[in-house]
Amino acid sequence: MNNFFDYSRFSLLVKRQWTENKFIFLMGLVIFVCITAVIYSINFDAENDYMLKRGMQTMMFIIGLLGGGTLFSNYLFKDFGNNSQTLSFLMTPASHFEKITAGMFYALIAFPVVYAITFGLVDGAFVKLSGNPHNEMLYSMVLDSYKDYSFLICVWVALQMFVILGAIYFGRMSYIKTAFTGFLILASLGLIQYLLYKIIIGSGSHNIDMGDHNRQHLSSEFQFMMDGSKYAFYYLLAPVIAIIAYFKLKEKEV
Amino acid sequence: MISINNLSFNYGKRKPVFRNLNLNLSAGNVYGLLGKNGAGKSSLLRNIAGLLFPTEGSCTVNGYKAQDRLPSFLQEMYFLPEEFYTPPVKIKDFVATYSPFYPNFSLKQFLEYLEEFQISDNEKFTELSLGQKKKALIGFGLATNTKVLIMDEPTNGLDIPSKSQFRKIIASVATDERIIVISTHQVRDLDSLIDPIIILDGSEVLLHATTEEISEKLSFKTVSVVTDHEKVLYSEHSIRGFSVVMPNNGHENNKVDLELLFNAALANRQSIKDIFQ
Repeated sequence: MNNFFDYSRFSLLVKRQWTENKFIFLMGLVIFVCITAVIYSINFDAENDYMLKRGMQTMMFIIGLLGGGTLFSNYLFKDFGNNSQTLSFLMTPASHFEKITAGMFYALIAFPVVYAITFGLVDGAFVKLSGNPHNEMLYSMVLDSYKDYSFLICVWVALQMFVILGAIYFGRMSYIKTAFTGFLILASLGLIQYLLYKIIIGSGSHNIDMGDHNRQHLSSEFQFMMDGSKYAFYYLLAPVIAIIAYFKLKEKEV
Repeated sequence: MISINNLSFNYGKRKPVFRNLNLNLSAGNVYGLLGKNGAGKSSLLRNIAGLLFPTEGSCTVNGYKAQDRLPSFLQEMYFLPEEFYTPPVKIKDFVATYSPFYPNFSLKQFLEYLEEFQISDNEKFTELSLGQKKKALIGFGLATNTKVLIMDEPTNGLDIPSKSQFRKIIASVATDERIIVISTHQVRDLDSLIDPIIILDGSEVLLHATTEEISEKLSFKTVSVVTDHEKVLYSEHSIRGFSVVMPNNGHENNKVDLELLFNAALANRQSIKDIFQ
Protein backbone atom coordinates (compact mmCIF):
# COMPACT_ATOMS: atom_id res chain seq x y z
CA MET A 1 0.00 0.00 0.00
CA ASN A 2 1.35 3.40 -0.95
CA ASN A 3 1.45 5.47 2.21
CA PHE A 4 2.73 8.63 0.53
CA PHE A 5 0.44 9.33 -2.41
CA ASP A 6 -2.54 7.48 -3.74
CA TYR A 7 -4.75 9.10 -6.36
CA SER A 8 -8.00 7.60 -5.06
CA ARG A 9 -7.38 8.96 -1.54
CA PHE A 10 -6.38 12.32 -3.02
CA SER A 11 -9.59 12.50 -5.05
CA LEU A 12 -11.62 11.53 -1.96
CA LEU A 13 -10.05 14.46 -0.10
CA VAL A 14 -10.86 16.81 -2.99
CA LYS A 15 -14.43 15.50 -2.97
CA ARG A 16 -14.65 15.92 0.81
CA GLN A 17 -13.59 19.56 0.58
CA TRP A 18 -16.28 20.19 -2.03
CA THR A 19 -19.05 18.29 -0.18
CA GLU A 20 -18.42 20.13 3.08
CA ASN A 21 -17.86 23.61 1.66
CA LYS A 22 -19.72 23.90 -1.62
CA PHE A 23 -22.32 26.36 -0.27
CA ILE A 24 -19.65 28.63 1.16
CA PHE A 25 -17.64 28.44 -2.09
CA LEU A 26 -20.68 29.27 -4.21
CA MET A 27 -21.76 32.05 -1.84
CA GLY A 28 -18.25 33.52 -2.01
CA LEU A 29 -18.40 33.42 -5.79
CA VAL A 30 -21.75 35.23 -5.87
CA ILE A 31 -20.46 37.88 -3.43
CA PHE A 32 -17.35 38.34 -5.57
CA VAL A 33 -19.45 38.81 -8.72
CA CYS A 34 -21.68 41.35 -6.93
CA ILE A 35 -18.76 43.36 -5.53
CA THR A 36 -16.97 43.38 -8.90
CA ALA A 37 -20.16 44.44 -10.68
CA VAL A 38 -20.75 47.28 -8.21
CA ILE A 39 -17.18 48.57 -8.54
CA TYR A 40 -17.34 48.31 -12.33
CA SER A 41 -20.61 50.28 -12.29
CA ILE A 42 -18.94 53.02 -10.23
CA ASN A 43 -15.90 52.85 -12.53
CA PHE A 44 -17.95 53.89 -15.59
CA ASP A 45 -17.19 57.47 -16.57
CA ALA A 46 -20.71 58.49 -17.64
CA GLU A 47 -19.58 61.92 -18.84
CA ASN A 48 -16.92 60.39 -21.08
CA ASP A 49 -18.96 57.93 -23.19
CA TYR A 50 -18.89 55.24 -20.47
CA MET A 51 -15.14 54.89 -20.62
CA LEU A 52 -13.69 52.31 -18.19
CA LYS A 53 -10.58 53.32 -16.25
CA ARG A 54 -7.95 50.72 -17.16
CA GLY A 55 -6.02 51.16 -13.95
CA MET A 56 -9.16 50.34 -12.04
CA GLN A 57 -9.72 47.16 -14.09
CA THR A 58 -6.19 45.96 -13.35
CA MET A 59 -6.41 46.99 -9.69
CA MET A 60 -9.68 45.10 -9.22
CA PHE A 61 -8.17 42.00 -10.78
CA ILE A 62 -5.04 42.07 -8.64
CA ILE A 63 -6.82 42.92 -5.38
CA GLY A 64 -9.34 40.13 -6.00
CA LEU A 65 -6.59 37.65 -6.84
CA LEU A 66 -4.50 38.52 -3.79
CA GLY A 67 -7.25 39.24 -1.26
CA GLY A 68 -9.69 36.59 -2.43
CA GLY A 69 -6.93 34.05 -3.01
CA THR A 70 -5.39 34.40 0.44
CA LEU A 71 -8.77 34.38 2.20
CA PHE A 72 -9.75 31.29 0.23
CA SER A 73 -6.49 29.46 1.00
CA ASN A 74 -6.84 30.29 4.67
CA TYR A 75 -10.43 29.02 4.64
CA LEU A 76 -9.34 25.71 3.07
CA PHE A 77 -7.27 24.97 6.16
CA LYS A 78 -9.76 26.46 8.62
CA ASP A 79 -9.87 23.10 10.44
CA PHE A 80 -6.74 24.09 12.30
CA GLY A 81 -8.60 26.91 14.05
CA ASN A 82 -10.54 24.39 16.09
CA ASN A 83 -9.27 21.37 18.04
CA SER A 84 -12.06 18.96 17.19
CA GLN A 85 -11.83 19.86 13.49
CA THR A 86 -8.05 19.50 13.57
CA LEU A 87 -8.50 16.06 15.10
CA SER A 88 -11.00 15.05 12.43
CA PHE A 89 -8.64 16.32 9.71
CA LEU A 90 -5.60 14.51 11.11
CA MET A 91 -7.48 11.24 11.70
CA THR A 92 -8.82 11.07 8.14
CA PRO A 93 -7.07 8.06 6.59
CA ALA A 94 -4.86 9.82 4.05
CA SER A 95 -1.22 10.85 4.07
CA HIS A 96 -0.07 14.32 5.08
CA PHE A 97 1.13 14.83 1.52
CA GLU A 98 -2.31 14.00 0.11
CA LYS A 99 -3.97 16.32 2.62
CA ILE A 100 -1.77 19.26 1.75
CA THR A 101 -1.91 18.67 -2.00
CA ALA A 102 -5.72 18.42 -1.90
CA GLY A 103 -5.73 21.89 -0.32
CA MET A 104 -3.18 23.11 -2.87
CA PHE A 105 -5.39 21.80 -5.68
CA TYR A 106 -8.14 24.20 -4.60
CA ALA A 107 -5.82 27.09 -3.70
CA LEU A 108 -3.49 26.98 -6.70
CA ILE A 109 -5.57 25.44 -9.49
CA ALA A 110 -9.33 25.59 -8.84
CA PHE A 111 -9.34 29.11 -7.38
CA PRO A 112 -7.35 30.92 -10.12
CA VAL A 113 -9.26 29.10 -12.88
CA VAL A 114 -12.69 29.96 -11.42
CA TYR A 115 -11.50 33.46 -10.53
CA ALA A 116 -10.12 34.15 -14.01
CA ILE A 117 -13.28 32.88 -15.72
CA THR A 118 -15.62 34.79 -13.39
CA PHE A 119 -13.62 38.00 -13.56
CA GLY A 120 -13.35 37.68 -17.35
CA LEU A 121 -17.12 37.25 -17.65
CA VAL A 122 -17.90 40.29 -15.47
CA ASP A 123 -15.20 42.36 -17.19
CA GLY A 124 -16.39 41.29 -20.65
CA ALA A 125 -20.03 41.98 -19.76
CA PHE A 126 -19.23 45.53 -18.63
CA VAL A 127 -16.99 46.24 -21.63
CA LYS A 128 -19.84 45.13 -23.88
CA LEU A 129 -22.43 47.02 -21.83
CA SER A 130 -20.46 50.26 -22.11
CA GLY A 131 -20.80 50.25 -25.89
CA ASN A 132 -17.56 52.24 -26.04
CA PRO A 133 -15.18 50.74 -28.67
CA HIS A 134 -12.16 52.17 -26.78
CA ASN A 135 -12.90 50.01 -23.76
CA GLU A 136 -10.83 46.85 -23.83
CA MET A 137 -11.19 43.60 -21.94
CA LEU A 138 -8.56 43.25 -19.22
CA TYR A 139 -7.39 39.86 -20.52
CA SER A 140 -6.49 41.21 -23.95
CA MET A 141 -4.32 43.80 -22.17
CA VAL A 142 -2.83 41.20 -19.82
CA LEU A 143 -2.07 38.74 -22.64
CA ASP A 144 -0.22 41.47 -24.56
CA SER A 145 2.19 42.08 -21.72
CA TYR A 146 2.13 38.62 -20.10
CA LYS A 147 5.91 38.09 -20.23
CA ASP A 148 6.58 41.27 -18.26
CA TYR A 149 4.35 40.15 -15.43
CA SER A 150 4.82 36.36 -15.44
CA PHE A 151 6.93 36.63 -12.27
CA LEU A 152 3.79 37.81 -10.46
CA ILE A 153 2.41 34.28 -10.80
CA CYS A 154 5.40 32.93 -8.86
CA VAL A 155 4.95 35.59 -6.20
CA TRP A 156 1.23 34.84 -5.98
CA VAL A 157 1.87 31.08 -5.61
CA ALA A 158 4.43 31.78 -2.88
CA LEU A 159 1.93 34.02 -1.11
CA GLN A 160 -0.76 31.33 -1.26
CA MET A 161 1.66 28.77 0.17
CA PHE A 162 2.65 31.20 2.91
CA VAL A 163 -1.01 31.56 3.91
CA ILE A 164 -1.45 27.77 3.95
CA LEU A 165 1.65 27.43 6.13
CA GLY A 166 0.28 30.14 8.44
CA ALA A 167 -3.09 28.36 8.72
CA ILE A 168 -1.37 25.10 9.70
CA TYR A 169 1.12 26.76 12.05
CA PHE A 170 -1.04 29.29 13.88
CA GLY A 171 -4.40 27.55 14.18
CA ARG A 172 -6.74 30.15 15.66
CA MET A 173 -6.98 33.59 13.98
CA SER A 174 -4.38 32.38 11.52
CA TYR A 175 -5.18 34.92 8.78
CA ILE A 176 -4.37 37.92 10.95
CA LYS A 177 -1.35 36.24 12.53
CA THR A 178 -0.03 35.20 9.09
CA ALA A 179 -0.48 38.72 7.71
CA PHE A 180 1.35 40.19 10.69
CA THR A 181 4.16 37.62 10.39
CA GLY A 182 4.42 38.34 6.65
CA PHE A 183 4.73 42.04 7.40
CA LEU A 184 7.45 41.37 9.99
CA ILE A 185 9.36 39.11 7.57
CA LEU A 186 9.21 41.69 4.77
CA ALA A 187 10.31 44.48 7.12
CA SER A 188 13.19 42.32 8.40
CA LEU A 189 14.26 41.42 4.84
CA GLY A 190 14.20 45.10 3.88
CA LEU A 191 16.36 45.94 6.87
CA ILE A 192 18.80 43.10 6.14
CA GLN A 193 19.04 44.17 2.49
CA TYR A 194 19.71 47.75 3.54
CA LEU A 195 22.43 46.62 5.96
CA LEU A 196 23.99 44.30 3.36
CA TYR A 197 24.17 47.10 0.79
CA LYS A 198 25.66 49.32 3.43
CA ILE A 199 28.34 46.72 4.20
CA ILE A 200 29.08 45.94 0.52
CA ILE A 201 28.78 49.35 -1.03
CA GLY A 202 29.42 51.72 1.84
CA SER A 203 27.65 54.60 3.46
CA GLY A 204 26.27 56.01 0.22
CA SER A 205 24.27 52.87 -0.52
CA HIS A 206 20.88 54.60 -0.21
CA ASN A 207 21.79 56.68 -3.25
CA ILE A 208 22.70 53.71 -5.48
CA ASP A 209 20.29 53.29 -8.38
CA MET A 210 19.55 49.56 -8.85
CA GLY A 211 17.31 50.07 -11.87
CA ASP A 212 17.87 48.15 -15.13
CA HIS A 213 19.19 51.26 -16.92
CA ASN A 214 22.04 51.44 -14.40
CA ARG A 215 22.99 47.76 -14.38
CA GLN A 216 26.06 48.16 -16.58
CA HIS A 217 27.63 50.18 -13.76
CA LEU A 218 27.27 47.35 -11.26
CA SER A 219 29.95 44.72 -10.88
CA SER A 220 29.21 41.30 -12.42
CA GLU A 221 29.37 39.66 -8.93
CA PHE A 222 26.82 42.10 -7.64
CA GLN A 223 24.60 41.52 -10.68
CA PHE A 224 24.89 37.76 -10.15
CA MET A 225 23.87 38.18 -6.50
CA MET A 226 20.90 40.31 -7.46
CA ASP A 227 19.74 37.99 -10.24
CA GLY A 228 20.34 34.92 -8.08
CA SER A 229 18.30 36.25 -5.19
CA LYS A 230 15.57 37.40 -7.58
CA TYR A 231 15.21 33.98 -9.22
CA ALA A 232 15.46 32.21 -5.88
CA PHE A 233 12.66 34.43 -4.61
CA TYR A 234 10.50 33.85 -7.67
CA TYR A 235 11.01 30.14 -8.26
CA LEU A 236 12.28 28.55 -5.04
CA LEU A 237 10.28 30.36 -2.40
CA ALA A 238 6.94 28.63 -3.07
CA PRO A 239 8.36 25.05 -3.10
CA VAL A 240 10.39 25.78 0.03
CA ILE A 241 7.31 27.10 1.87
CA ALA A 242 5.31 24.09 0.63
CA ILE A 243 7.92 21.71 2.07
CA ILE A 244 7.89 23.56 5.41
CA ALA A 245 4.06 23.42 5.45
CA TYR A 246 4.20 19.66 4.80
CA PHE A 247 6.55 19.06 7.73
CA LYS A 248 4.52 21.36 9.98
CA LEU A 249 1.45 19.29 9.15
CA LYS A 250 3.34 16.07 9.87
CA GLU A 251 4.32 17.27 13.32
CA LYS A 252 0.94 18.79 14.15
CA GLU A 253 -0.43 17.61 17.50
CA VAL A 254 -3.85 18.08 19.00
CA MET B 1 -1.77 -5.10 19.59
CA ILE B 2 -1.02 -1.75 21.18
CA SER B 3 2.42 -1.54 22.78
CA ILE B 4 3.36 1.38 24.95
CA ASN B 5 6.97 1.23 26.06
CA ASN B 6 8.51 3.60 28.60
CA LEU B 7 6.24 6.35 27.39
CA SER B 8 6.74 9.75 28.94
CA PHE B 9 4.59 12.66 27.94
CA ASN B 10 4.10 16.21 29.07
CA TYR B 11 2.48 19.37 27.76
CA GLY B 12 5.29 21.89 27.38
CA LYS B 13 7.24 22.41 30.58
CA ARG B 14 4.36 21.51 32.81
CA LYS B 15 4.28 18.56 35.21
CA PRO B 16 4.62 15.27 33.31
CA VAL B 17 1.36 13.54 32.43
CA PHE B 18 3.08 10.14 32.15
CA ARG B 19 6.47 8.92 33.24
CA ASN B 20 7.87 5.66 31.83
CA LEU B 21 4.46 4.19 31.20
CA ASN B 22 4.33 0.57 30.00
CA LEU B 23 1.16 -1.00 28.73
CA ASN B 24 0.23 -3.77 26.31
CA LEU B 25 -3.29 -4.01 24.97
CA SER B 26 -4.26 -7.06 22.96
CA ALA B 27 -7.05 -7.77 20.48
CA GLY B 28 -10.32 -9.31 21.57
CA ASN B 29 -10.83 -7.04 24.59
CA VAL B 30 -12.89 -4.02 25.51
CA TYR B 31 -10.53 -2.04 27.72
CA GLY B 32 -11.99 0.38 30.23
CA LEU B 33 -9.71 3.30 30.96
CA LEU B 34 -10.51 4.96 34.25
CA GLY B 35 -8.93 7.88 36.04
CA LYS B 36 -9.65 11.16 37.80
CA ASN B 37 -9.96 14.40 35.84
CA GLY B 38 -6.52 15.30 34.58
CA ALA B 39 -5.12 11.79 35.13
CA GLY B 40 -4.21 11.63 31.46
CA LYS B 41 -6.89 9.38 29.98
CA SER B 42 -7.48 11.56 26.92
CA SER B 43 -3.74 12.20 26.54
CA LEU B 44 -3.07 8.46 26.55
CA LEU B 45 -5.79 7.85 23.96
CA ARG B 46 -4.38 10.63 21.77
CA ASN B 47 -0.90 9.16 22.05
CA ILE B 48 -2.31 5.83 20.88
CA ALA B 49 -4.12 7.55 17.98
CA GLY B 50 -0.94 9.43 16.97
CA LEU B 51 -2.44 12.82 17.73
CA LEU B 52 0.04 13.55 20.51
CA PHE B 53 3.68 12.53 20.39
CA PRO B 54 5.53 10.95 23.32
CA THR B 55 8.38 13.04 24.71
CA GLU B 56 10.19 9.76 25.38
CA GLY B 57 9.46 6.11 24.67
CA SER B 58 7.23 4.73 21.98
CA CYS B 59 3.68 3.82 21.14
CA THR B 60 3.06 1.29 18.40
CA VAL B 61 -0.28 0.05 17.15
CA ASN B 62 -0.34 -3.19 15.14
CA GLY B 63 3.31 -2.57 14.26
CA TYR B 64 2.82 1.05 13.18
CA LYS B 65 4.47 3.93 14.99
CA ALA B 66 1.33 5.87 15.93
CA GLN B 67 2.79 9.36 15.48
CA ASP B 68 3.59 8.70 11.79
CA ARG B 69 -0.18 8.65 11.11
CA LEU B 70 0.28 6.60 7.95
CA PRO B 71 -2.87 5.97 5.89
CA SER B 72 -2.59 2.19 6.45
CA PHE B 73 -2.57 2.87 10.21
CA LEU B 74 -5.40 5.42 10.11
CA GLN B 75 -7.72 3.24 8.06
CA GLU B 76 -7.57 0.61 10.80
CA MET B 77 -8.11 3.09 13.63
CA TYR B 78 -11.28 4.98 14.55
CA PHE B 79 -11.11 7.56 17.30
CA LEU B 80 -14.22 9.18 18.72
CA PRO B 81 -13.10 12.10 20.91
CA GLU B 82 -15.13 13.59 23.75
CA GLU B 83 -15.54 16.81 21.77
CA PHE B 84 -16.09 15.87 18.19
CA TYR B 85 -16.67 17.61 14.88
CA THR B 86 -19.48 16.93 12.47
CA PRO B 87 -19.51 18.75 9.13
CA PRO B 88 -22.67 20.67 8.16
CA VAL B 89 -23.93 17.97 5.80
CA LYS B 90 -26.56 15.23 5.79
CA ILE B 91 -25.56 11.96 7.47
CA LYS B 92 -25.78 10.11 4.14
CA ASP B 93 -23.43 12.65 2.53
CA PHE B 94 -21.05 12.29 5.45
CA VAL B 95 -21.05 8.53 4.98
CA ALA B 96 -20.59 8.84 1.21
CA THR B 97 -17.62 11.16 1.79
CA TYR B 98 -15.82 9.42 4.65
CA SER B 99 -16.67 5.73 4.33
CA PRO B 100 -14.47 5.11 1.22
CA PHE B 101 -11.45 5.90 3.40
CA TYR B 102 -12.20 2.78 5.46
CA PRO B 103 -11.85 -0.42 3.40
CA ASN B 104 -13.96 -2.55 5.78
CA PHE B 105 -16.81 -0.10 6.17
CA SER B 106 -20.25 -1.74 6.09
CA LEU B 107 -23.17 0.45 5.05
CA LYS B 108 -25.63 -2.25 6.09
CA GLN B 109 -24.19 -2.29 9.60
CA PHE B 110 -24.24 1.52 9.77
CA LEU B 111 -27.91 1.70 8.76
CA GLU B 112 -28.76 -0.92 11.37
CA TYR B 113 -27.06 1.14 14.08
CA LEU B 114 -28.86 4.27 12.94
CA GLU B 115 -32.14 2.40 13.10
CA GLU B 116 -31.29 1.18 16.58
CA PHE B 117 -30.58 4.77 17.64
CA GLN B 118 -33.69 5.99 15.76
CA ILE B 119 -31.86 8.45 13.53
CA SER B 120 -32.50 8.94 9.82
CA ASP B 121 -29.54 9.18 7.45
CA ASN B 122 -31.41 11.92 5.63
CA GLU B 123 -30.99 14.30 8.55
CA LYS B 124 -28.40 17.05 8.60
CA PHE B 125 -25.89 17.04 11.45
CA THR B 126 -26.74 20.67 12.18
CA GLU B 127 -30.35 19.65 12.89
CA LEU B 128 -29.42 16.96 15.42
CA SER B 129 -28.89 17.26 19.17
CA LEU B 130 -25.43 16.62 20.63
CA GLY B 131 -26.47 13.14 21.76
CA GLN B 132 -27.88 12.27 18.33
CA LYS B 133 -24.72 13.50 16.59
CA LYS B 134 -22.70 11.34 18.96
CA LYS B 135 -24.86 8.31 18.26
CA ALA B 136 -24.47 8.81 14.50
CA LEU B 137 -20.67 8.99 14.91
CA ILE B 138 -20.63 5.96 17.20
CA GLY B 139 -22.58 4.07 14.53
CA PHE B 140 -20.16 5.25 11.86
CA GLY B 141 -17.12 4.31 13.97
CA LEU B 142 -18.44 0.82 14.63
CA ALA B 143 -19.37 0.31 10.97
CA THR B 144 -15.80 1.16 9.87
CA ASN B 145 -14.80 -2.24 11.32
CA THR B 146 -11.35 -0.93 12.12
CA LYS B 147 -9.01 -3.12 14.15
CA VAL B 148 -8.69 -0.41 16.78
CA LEU B 149 -11.62 1.55 18.13
CA ILE B 150 -10.99 4.27 20.67
CA MET B 151 -13.75 6.19 22.39
CA ASP B 152 -13.25 9.01 24.85
CA GLU B 153 -16.24 9.35 27.19
CA PRO B 154 -18.68 7.88 24.65
CA THR B 155 -21.66 7.81 27.00
CA ASN B 156 -21.46 11.51 27.92
CA GLY B 157 -24.50 13.22 26.47
CA LEU B 158 -26.40 9.99 25.78
CA ASP B 159 -29.83 9.45 27.30
CA ILE B 160 -30.58 6.36 29.43
CA PRO B 161 -32.01 4.16 26.62
CA SER B 162 -29.10 5.12 24.35
CA LYS B 163 -26.60 4.05 26.99
CA SER B 164 -28.04 0.55 27.08
CA GLN B 165 -28.21 0.49 23.26
CA PHE B 166 -24.57 1.53 23.23
CA ARG B 167 -23.61 -1.31 25.59
CA LYS B 168 -25.53 -3.80 23.48
CA ILE B 169 -23.92 -2.65 20.22
CA ILE B 170 -20.39 -2.56 21.64
CA ALA B 171 -20.83 -6.06 23.02
CA SER B 172 -21.91 -7.22 19.55
CA VAL B 173 -18.91 -5.74 17.73
CA ALA B 174 -16.23 -6.89 20.18
CA THR B 175 -14.48 -9.49 18.05
CA ASP B 176 -11.23 -11.39 18.54
CA GLU B 177 -9.45 -9.17 15.98
CA ARG B 178 -10.51 -5.89 17.48
CA ILE B 179 -9.14 -3.77 20.32
CA ILE B 180 -11.69 -1.43 21.84
CA VAL B 181 -10.53 1.16 24.36
CA ILE B 182 -13.14 3.22 26.17
CA SER B 183 -12.31 5.93 28.65
CA THR B 184 -15.00 6.99 31.06
CA HIS B 185 -15.84 8.75 34.27
CA GLN B 186 -19.21 7.11 34.41
CA VAL B 187 -18.21 3.57 35.28
CA ARG B 188 -21.77 2.48 35.98
CA ASP B 189 -22.66 3.17 32.33
CA LEU B 190 -20.14 0.59 31.17
CA ASP B 191 -20.30 -1.86 34.03
CA SER B 192 -20.33 -5.43 32.65
CA LEU B 193 -18.99 -4.23 29.30
CA ILE B 194 -15.42 -3.16 29.97
CA ASP B 195 -12.87 -5.81 30.78
CA PRO B 196 -9.91 -5.52 31.50
CA ILE B 197 -9.80 -2.38 33.62
CA ILE B 198 -6.97 0.14 33.51
CA ILE B 199 -6.78 2.83 36.18
CA LEU B 200 -4.46 5.75 35.58
CA ASP B 201 -3.25 7.92 38.41
CA GLY B 202 -0.20 10.01 39.25
CA SER B 203 1.52 9.65 35.84
CA GLU B 204 1.35 5.86 35.95
CA VAL B 205 -0.85 2.81 35.56
CA LEU B 206 -2.20 2.08 39.00
CA LEU B 207 -4.11 -1.02 38.02
CA HIS B 208 -4.33 -3.16 34.89
CA ALA B 209 -6.31 -6.32 35.45
CA THR B 210 -9.23 -8.34 34.15
CA THR B 211 -12.43 -8.38 36.18
CA GLU B 212 -11.78 -12.06 36.88
CA GLU B 213 -8.41 -11.23 38.47
CA ILE B 214 -9.97 -8.36 40.40
CA SER B 215 -12.75 -10.54 41.72
CA GLU B 216 -10.21 -13.20 42.72
CA LYS B 217 -8.10 -10.72 44.62
CA LEU B 218 -10.63 -8.27 46.00
CA SER B 219 -13.89 -8.65 47.80
CA PHE B 220 -16.75 -6.18 47.39
CA LYS B 221 -19.27 -6.38 50.21
CA THR B 222 -22.00 -4.47 51.97
CA VAL B 223 -21.78 -4.71 55.76
CA SER B 224 -23.78 -3.12 58.53
CA VAL B 225 -20.71 -2.31 60.64
CA VAL B 226 -17.09 -2.04 59.58
CA THR B 227 -15.06 -4.25 61.88
CA ASP B 228 -11.71 -5.33 60.36
CA HIS B 229 -10.47 -1.77 59.87
CA GLU B 230 -6.92 -2.81 59.13
CA LYS B 231 -8.08 -5.13 56.34
CA VAL B 232 -10.52 -2.73 54.72
CA LEU B 233 -9.03 -1.02 51.69
CA TYR B 234 -11.95 1.30 51.25
CA SER B 235 -15.36 1.88 52.77
CA GLU B 236 -18.22 4.24 52.12
CA HIS B 237 -21.71 4.78 53.48
CA SER B 238 -24.49 3.12 51.56
CA ILE B 239 -28.25 2.71 52.16
CA ARG B 240 -27.76 -0.69 53.75
CA GLY B 241 -24.73 0.20 55.87
CA PHE B 242 -21.25 0.30 54.41
CA SER B 243 -19.88 -0.77 51.04
CA VAL B 244 -16.40 -2.08 51.58
CA VAL B 245 -13.48 -3.33 49.51
CA MET B 246 -11.20 -5.88 51.12
CA PRO B 247 -8.60 -8.38 49.99
CA ASN B 248 -10.38 -11.55 48.93
CA ASN B 249 -8.54 -13.92 51.20
CA GLY B 250 -11.30 -16.50 51.27
CA HIS B 251 -11.46 -16.61 47.44
CA GLU B 252 -15.18 -15.96 47.50
CA ASN B 253 -17.04 -15.38 44.27
CA ASN B 254 -18.18 -11.79 44.06
CA LYS B 255 -19.15 -9.19 41.50
CA VAL B 256 -16.72 -6.36 40.86
CA ASP B 257 -18.12 -2.94 41.67
CA LEU B 258 -16.15 -0.63 39.38
CA GLU B 259 -16.96 2.52 41.29
CA LEU B 260 -15.82 1.03 44.58
CA LEU B 261 -12.75 -0.42 42.91
CA PHE B 262 -11.86 2.98 41.48
CA ASN B 263 -12.30 4.73 44.82
CA ALA B 264 -10.35 2.00 46.62
CA ALA B 265 -7.49 2.27 44.12
CA LEU B 266 -7.24 6.02 44.62
CA ALA B 267 -7.62 5.84 48.40
CA ASN B 268 -5.15 3.03 48.90
CA ARG B 269 -2.71 3.19 46.01
CA GLN B 270 0.13 1.17 47.45
CA SER B 271 -2.01 -1.66 48.81
CA ILE B 272 -3.78 -2.05 45.47
CA LYS B 273 -0.42 -2.04 43.66
CA ASP B 274 0.95 -4.67 46.03
CA ILE B 275 -2.10 -6.90 45.64
CA PHE B 276 -1.94 -6.84 41.85
CA GLN B 277 1.83 -7.07 41.47
